[in-house]
Amino acid sequence: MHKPSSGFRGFTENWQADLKAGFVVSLVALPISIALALASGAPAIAGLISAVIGGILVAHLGGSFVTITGPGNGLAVVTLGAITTLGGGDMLAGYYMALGAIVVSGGLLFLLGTVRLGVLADLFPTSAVQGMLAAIGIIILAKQSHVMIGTLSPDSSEPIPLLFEFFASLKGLISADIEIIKVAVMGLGSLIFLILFSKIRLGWMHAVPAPLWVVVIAVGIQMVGTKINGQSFFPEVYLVNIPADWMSSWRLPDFSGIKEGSFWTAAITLTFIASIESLLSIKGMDRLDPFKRKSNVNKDLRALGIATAVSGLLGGLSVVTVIARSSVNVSNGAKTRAANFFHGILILIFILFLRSLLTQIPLPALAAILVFTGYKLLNPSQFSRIAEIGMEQLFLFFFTLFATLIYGLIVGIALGMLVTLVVQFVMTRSGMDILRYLSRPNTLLYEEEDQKFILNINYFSNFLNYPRLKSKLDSVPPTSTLIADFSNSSFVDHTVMEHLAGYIELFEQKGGSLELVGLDMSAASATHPLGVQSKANKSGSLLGGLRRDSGKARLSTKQEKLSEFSVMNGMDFTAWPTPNWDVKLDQFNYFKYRRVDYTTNLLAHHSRKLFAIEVSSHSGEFIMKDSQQLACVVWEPQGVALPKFVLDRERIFERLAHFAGSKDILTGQIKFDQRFALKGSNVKAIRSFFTKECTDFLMRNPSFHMESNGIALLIFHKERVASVQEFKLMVNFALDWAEQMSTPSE
Amino acid sequence: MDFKATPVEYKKIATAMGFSPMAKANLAEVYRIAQKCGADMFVFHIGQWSDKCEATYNSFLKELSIPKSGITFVSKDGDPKVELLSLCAENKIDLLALGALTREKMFKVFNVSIARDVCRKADVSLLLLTNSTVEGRVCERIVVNGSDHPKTPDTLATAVWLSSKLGSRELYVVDELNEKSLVHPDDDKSQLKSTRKRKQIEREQHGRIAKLLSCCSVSKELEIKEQHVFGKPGYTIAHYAKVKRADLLIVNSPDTKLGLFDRIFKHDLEYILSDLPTNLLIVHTTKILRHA
Repeated sequence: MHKPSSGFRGFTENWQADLKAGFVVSLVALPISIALALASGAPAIAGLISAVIGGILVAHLGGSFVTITGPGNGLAVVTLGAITTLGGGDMLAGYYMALGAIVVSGGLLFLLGTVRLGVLADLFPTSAVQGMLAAIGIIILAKQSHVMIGTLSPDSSEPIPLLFEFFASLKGLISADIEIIKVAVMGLGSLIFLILFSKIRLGWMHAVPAPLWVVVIAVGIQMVGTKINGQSFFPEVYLVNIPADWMSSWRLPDFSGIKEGSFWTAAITLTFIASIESLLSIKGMDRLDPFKRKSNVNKDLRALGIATAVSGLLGGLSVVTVIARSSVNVSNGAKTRAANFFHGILILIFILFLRSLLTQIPLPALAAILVFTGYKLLNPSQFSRIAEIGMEQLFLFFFTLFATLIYGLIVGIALGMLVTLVVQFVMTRSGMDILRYLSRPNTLLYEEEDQKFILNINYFSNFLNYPRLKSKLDSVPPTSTLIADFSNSSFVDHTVMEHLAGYIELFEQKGGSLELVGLDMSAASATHPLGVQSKANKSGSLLGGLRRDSGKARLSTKQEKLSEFSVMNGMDFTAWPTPNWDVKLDQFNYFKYRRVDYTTNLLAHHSRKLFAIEVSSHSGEFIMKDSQQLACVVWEPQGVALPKFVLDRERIFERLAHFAGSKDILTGQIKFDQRFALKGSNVKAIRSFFTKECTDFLMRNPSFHMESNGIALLIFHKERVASVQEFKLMVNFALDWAEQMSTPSE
Repeated sequence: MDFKATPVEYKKIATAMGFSPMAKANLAEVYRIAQKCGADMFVFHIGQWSDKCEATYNSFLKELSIPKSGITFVSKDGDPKVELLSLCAENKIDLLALGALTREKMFKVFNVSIARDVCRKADVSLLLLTNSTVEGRVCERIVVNGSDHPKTPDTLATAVWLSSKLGSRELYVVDELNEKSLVHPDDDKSQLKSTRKRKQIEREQHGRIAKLLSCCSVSKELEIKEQHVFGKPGYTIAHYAKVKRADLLIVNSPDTKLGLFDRIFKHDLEYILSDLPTNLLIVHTTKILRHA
């Protein structure tokens, strides 16, 4: 696959792939757009307008490649707030005033892009942003849970009372009348379906994204039920409402509130959240782009600004870059911006010609989708991961979460940033220094020799002075070698470490390298690689008790056992391998669309080029996010001609094998062929690799999943964290096989 | 800009005599420098000169084996900031050497504030010594400013002259370039453009520096290395000197006399003064510039 050309040529070469991807995305975007409009308190058509304008305009004006733009999750909450406040209770009036704020925020976004303030998104501390996003998830969840069971207007308005009220309503359902019960069953049933969807093992089901299934089934029930009943199966008020005269009843947004402070608060909040969500999504997508193209973030912001303003004028919501739909776009083979365009056009066609179908969608189904989205934003599985990085990060996460729930988005994130700074003062004991050096330049970048750059960082590096570091990092071509030297810094915070991990990946992908040196401040493997690196830790930091591994390398029981095991087998054990990724995971199809978050417990047998490691990765984002832990072995067998193949017992690799253009292969050993599914393209090479000795060996041992890319093997057992026993089993298997391969067969 | 660069050859070096813990080491250091440069040495003391002071001073000279006749000693009472500079003017001092402390506390350190006053009002080169020792260390590595500025040719020539006198082996010429002259790389295409432009700028500057150096008489033991760096002027060269562990940093004198405004909104020399990476020499050149 070569990189798609830009411009018109790119379009003509790739339009089929883009059309297909755009089509799938439009099917997903349709219900989501309507749902988000409802979550915002706006008419259903508003969400659709935003998706259409987003797709059509941003595809032409934008600076990224595979992103999808339309109504956003985070903005639903802000827009709802704007509509409620500006309208003083009158949702319709509020809607038109909010449109005014949306148009203004579009202008502000455009300005942000012009002044190159796209870098501002990097200014926010990671844990605080995650806390804010989680809070957004809870807010969406709290409100929509009511719609899901049939209460269109609950009493409370704040998220926490809403949650309590939900459970009360749930109990009240038992005595409710049949209409409500039908609605509630629809909603709850949809939610259960969404939750269980990932567990369903039928490959064909997964070709269609879950939200679409929900909508299709819900519409089906409504239509069939209506036919049988004679009248609408679900009460009208519980169906999506897109009035037939939606086009002709358009009127200009209401700018009368422009003198009021509340108008500007709304506009600024909209701009703020829109830019954060978009920038995070654009950067996230840069990593998921199979061609690793770097997006022009500021150009995108300008495009989003224009699209938002136009959308607002036409009655639609703000346009942002959405990572969930973008990741669907990429996994369906999108190549250029045309996919975004097609997604917009197709939604327009749906509205124009299939409006009556759209009005058959029951609201509870959409609410269930939103509840699920909210839950995915909250993402409880990230709690343990954050805790592992450092307890202070967990504290910051929850602090920002609750601050956002109680005080709203802007105050929430502002408090989060403030507390992050305070925590840094305390943890690193260099409070005064931080204040003094904050406004100073602190980076030095020079080219030592051709294509080799040295970046030296002075004083300290945290989220506040990160923009300086970032501009220096960006000015280095990722094809060259860069050494970032932190020995002159007293500490580096978690947000910066995360950003650096991203740059390390970028440099790797482009053929260069970024190496971090001077970070051995705390004891070698005491802290998580992405945790706060601080010289203060050495003397036993104030919060030593809070950190899980304070100052000394303390391994868990599992790690100690693994360490012993590795010694016995002549391997090196590293509990927290540095982010320099000795083990190249993305060479395998399995990791093609997965982003590796971090790796732990590396057992390395250097002479045999055999590595066992635990990988934490995820694919997709937000609603489509699927995080997992995996214990695997990566091994380059020496002196053997290794063909490309995939070996499996369960159907886990079916989807992937499709990429390799492979077919089922029979080795000729009957028992083996019965138990295993072997796929590949070069039949001859595979058959000569799977000799009788080989298949006998494989049958004698517990079965593992295997992928070979011609150079190395990826071997694993289950897609979850492995126990010590399972780890040992897997490593022994690989070592035995290596042994067996190196001994010549008789 | 077309004129010959003239190094400031220091003929009269003065130091201020204080009684801080570093006094003896500073005295030793300045004496050594004066010897190597073949310059006359002056010691100024501002304030009351008591017998106790005399005794301590004499014991210093004795311990350091400095003949009293080798030094012209002047003591004057009054406000240090005023008197020191008037003494320098009276005696036609080329170079004023002061012992400074690198920043350790949040609040101003006495000698650095003196330095600012000197830069603000005086027309004398200033040497701030941060890590003098009694035994002395050879000044191996010097970092000098090579940016495109009218004062640079003289400063560069002075650096070359000084390195031959002090026996230095490496001279790093650091050319601080304005980051704004680069194209901001937004995406892959502009990244290439940016790299090309960068290389072009570096080539041009290299030509300029080579021309300047050809006018100086460079000794054979001296290895000259050139480094072009994009970054904030003043700060960048200080950070570079720190990274390269230079023994001496030589810079141009400031264009504006440093006032309160310059201290609050830090720029150029202020960055260096507020966090001295190593010994600092601010070269003052009084040459009138002629445009060819």
